[in-house]
Amino acid sequence: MFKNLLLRDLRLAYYSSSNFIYIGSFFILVTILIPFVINTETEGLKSVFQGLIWVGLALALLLALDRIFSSDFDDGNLDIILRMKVSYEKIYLSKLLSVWITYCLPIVIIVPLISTAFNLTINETIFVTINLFCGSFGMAATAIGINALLMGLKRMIYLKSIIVIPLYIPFMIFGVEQGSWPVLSALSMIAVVVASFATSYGLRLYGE
Amino acid sequence: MISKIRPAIIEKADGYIPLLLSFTIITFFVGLYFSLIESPADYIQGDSMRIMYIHVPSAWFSLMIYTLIALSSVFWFILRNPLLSLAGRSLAPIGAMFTFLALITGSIWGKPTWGTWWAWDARLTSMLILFFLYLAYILLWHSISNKDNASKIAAALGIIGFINIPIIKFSVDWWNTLHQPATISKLSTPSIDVSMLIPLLIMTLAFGLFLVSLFIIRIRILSLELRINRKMIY
Amino acid sequence: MDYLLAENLSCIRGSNTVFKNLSFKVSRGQILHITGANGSGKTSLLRMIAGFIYPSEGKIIPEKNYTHKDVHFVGQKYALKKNLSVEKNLSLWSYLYQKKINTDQILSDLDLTQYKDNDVEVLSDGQKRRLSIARLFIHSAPIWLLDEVHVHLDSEWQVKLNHYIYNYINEGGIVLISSNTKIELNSNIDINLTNYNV
Repeated sequence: MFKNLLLRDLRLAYYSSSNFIYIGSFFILVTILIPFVINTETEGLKSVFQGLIWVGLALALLLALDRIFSSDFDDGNLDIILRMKVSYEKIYLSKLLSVWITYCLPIVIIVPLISTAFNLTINETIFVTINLFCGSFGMAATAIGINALLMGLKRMIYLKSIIVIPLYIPFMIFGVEQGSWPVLSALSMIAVVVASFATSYGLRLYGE
Repeated sequence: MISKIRPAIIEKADGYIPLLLSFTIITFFVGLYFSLIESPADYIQGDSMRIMYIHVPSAWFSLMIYTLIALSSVFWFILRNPLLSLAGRSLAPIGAMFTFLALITGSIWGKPTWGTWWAWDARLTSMLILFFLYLAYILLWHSISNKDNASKIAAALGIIGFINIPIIKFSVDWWNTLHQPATISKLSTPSIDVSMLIPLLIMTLAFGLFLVSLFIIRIRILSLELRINRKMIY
Repeated sequence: MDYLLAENLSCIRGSNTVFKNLSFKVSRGQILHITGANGSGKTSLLRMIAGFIYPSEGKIIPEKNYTHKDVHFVGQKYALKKNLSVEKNLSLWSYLYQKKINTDQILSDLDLTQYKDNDVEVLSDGQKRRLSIARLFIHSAPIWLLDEVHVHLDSEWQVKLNHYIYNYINEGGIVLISSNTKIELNSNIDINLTNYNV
């Protein structure tokens, strides 16, 4: 059942405009805004890039806030999913994996490919990518948990963002520091656990 | 059941609210007298540090109110008493107001101390994020028209926000030690003289009374509103 | 599952009691037809049996682990992605149910072959309704909960749908169906929810 849900979500992402090409292009376009707004000669390029990676990831997830659970809720597909022989925990885990693959994996793959254009050394690139990998699970989980609670709110992406962004700040703070992947993993773990409760609760509420 | 939802302390509020408010005002005047006239100026910061008597109580209460919201959310999950969700809903704007006051006074205090209206000091930054946590909670209540649903979701959000406060505090402190020169990271003095402690305590009491009065007025209004919406069932 | 039993069900939404003291028993091979005025709680009752809402009072037997999972609930929402094509919508369901489906066969049964590559958005309500009942045939479940599925269907398709329902109960299925207009359906049990309203 877990596999069904995961494959179905990935297929839906592939059909709709949130596949690898869309998310990847979106992310690259966000990052190439930097050279236009700051002096490319300076050391600043590197540090702004390192920060903007996380902003780009956050933006990709925030723009997905009207999709995770919400679209299935609106059109009635969630009725079908909830009436299958599958527990809320499995629904959550499959959602976590599908959201991560759809919105985070493209960014984790693209960052090492474009980092040299922003003066990052190989060492720094490795650190940034590991950080991104460890932190992105928690950020995806946060987006899922909040959206499970708020899926009934249509076209409320700003409200949802206002709720989610403060929860992203710790990830941002540690994300830009080299070698802070253990902290990021811990943060992700907390977020994954808390979001699993929030998601089960949200799914239970939704029928009422 | 009725007494659970209509406790006497809220039902009879109209009777004692004027008394409570006048007591609050008197305490404020006494507190202001002690903090502005009776207490000495600071050795280093001079008179500008007197803003502490407003800044510190509001900062304390802004954190305390979020704790109260989280507690009422937890107990709402256990008892399902609508009054508990009304408590969270009444407290949130008060907490946001205290947080805003702490931010503004912190910023005013920063001007003579740091020479700038805003520094990315760990406390002020955490306070700013706390303000947005309050805002998110309030906006959530506003956006959901079905208040039964809203109370269920707001309770969950209150708890999620509360879990995040120590995490945010920890990360911001860590970020601050890394990126900021240590000289400007301390706002309040570590040890405090008795002559300054007395006005601070009186002001804290005044703020506390103010909080209680506002809270009772708001929850009274909201409980009446709920009763009207539910056609006088409670 | 041989039967579905409801004992003294009550439904309270907010502070309004929608219906109360509703009891019935449907066995395999039977159709329960729920009628009633707008707002009499037809959808609430079906969602309660589907397990989306907990009964305010009373109970549903077999207990929830049996009935609440693996039922077909066809609600007033079509469960279709409106900016995807008919074929892609069917393939999403086939992924969800992990069933190989013969798309062409299903579409010709539903008389929708020519719309295979059209977005669902361009279909009429009746056509969407036809497509939305396709999942009854993709995946088999012991109970069908059909919430006003006759709405938007023309008389020819109402007859066809009834035919599907008779076939299903002849194979031992249980059907609970609601309607707010008169439909020609030979049901075994009729409940008018208006009688249970408060």
